[in-house]
Amino acid sequence: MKSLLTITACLFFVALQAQPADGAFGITLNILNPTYTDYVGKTSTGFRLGYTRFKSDKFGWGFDAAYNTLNDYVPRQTYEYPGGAITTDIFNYMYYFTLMLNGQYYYRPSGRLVPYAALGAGLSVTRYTLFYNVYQEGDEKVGWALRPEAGLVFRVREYSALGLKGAVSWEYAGNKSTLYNIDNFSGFTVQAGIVLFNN
Amino acid sequence: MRKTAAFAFLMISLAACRLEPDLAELVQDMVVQTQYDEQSVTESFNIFNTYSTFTMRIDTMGLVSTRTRDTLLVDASGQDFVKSVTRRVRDKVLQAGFLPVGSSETPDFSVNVILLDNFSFFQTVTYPPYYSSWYYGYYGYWFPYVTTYASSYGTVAIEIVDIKNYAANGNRYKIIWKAFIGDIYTSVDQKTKTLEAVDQAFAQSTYIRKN
Repeated sequence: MKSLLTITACLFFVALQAQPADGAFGITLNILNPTYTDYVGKTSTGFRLGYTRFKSDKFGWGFDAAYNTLNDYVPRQTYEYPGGAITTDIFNYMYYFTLMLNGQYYYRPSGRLVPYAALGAGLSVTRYTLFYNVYQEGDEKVGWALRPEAGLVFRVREYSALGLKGAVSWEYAGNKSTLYNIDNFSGFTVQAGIVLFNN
Repeated sequence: MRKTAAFAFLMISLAACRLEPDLAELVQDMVVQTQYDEQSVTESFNIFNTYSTFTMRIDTMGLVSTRTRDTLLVDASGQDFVKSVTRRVRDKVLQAGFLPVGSSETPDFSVNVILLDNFSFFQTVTYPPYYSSWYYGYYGYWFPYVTTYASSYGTVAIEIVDIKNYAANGNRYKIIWKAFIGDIYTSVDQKTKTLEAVDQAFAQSTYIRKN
């Protein structure tokens, strides 16, 4: 309860700082639903942090970092291969980290509700891990990632430091693993979180 | 600069939250891996059709451990794990159509059951395709050659070793088939799950049969 009050007080404090902003930090939940589901198919909730620098009323650029752990369960079955076979159930895990630069376009230069579109491109770091019984093995891939995004930023008051953000995006990462015959990853993301404008 | 550092610290902290599956869910069933010699079992030839008899020791297991120099494993008083597993293996070989004989009665093949203690086969063991001849008769087992890497895993290994063609194989005992079952230490029901795994090892090795 004490923590909740502290957080609320902080948010109230930044909301009172009613000035135009030249940049903004954002922290959002990053709900990632894979569309390439050969390895992992379950929706994952992770985090995304970003910073945006406003270059004009219409344009901004920035960077963000996101992290999700995706997983899925493969029931027990027998896999045959030349010279043998193995029977096990497998927990497929995908530790997925992206670091991107992005450009943003704002459809309304001012006001409390600002729709925007963005395109991000950068780096993906993916750790594929297969857990079976007490054993595990994996593969790590560093590749590129691309993410078009559309969203809304809602400022609590005009020029307030606190805003709320919601966005949807699609992402595609060049992180295929030939070791496990896993192709490039793709998925839809829904973001919801807060934006702190700085002056 | 401080903002950037704080941002990086936060991301690293988040990335450090590495989720993993629950151990209780992971160890519900054991992993069963089987391998056969690809020269001895092909589409047109199955060496098991040339076999009739086998030998194996029951009620004891071979032991290869990084923690002890003991080479035999027997049940402690009141336990029947070793006895149950070795007898289940023997039953499976009998069901495949082979006859048990004593080791002095020139069996066609030997069946060895060995506990690999304190390391993981699935990750670290190097298994030779042959045993050197001097291993023969050493407590009746032919032990695998293992690396010294240790982890706290236990694996039951079952081997079928060709005795009939010892001379034809250059005076070496060739391993025709091997099965690895693990991890037995974290199992929710060690004996029952090991017996199920033995059944699975033979079920996924249908070429082990006497036609």
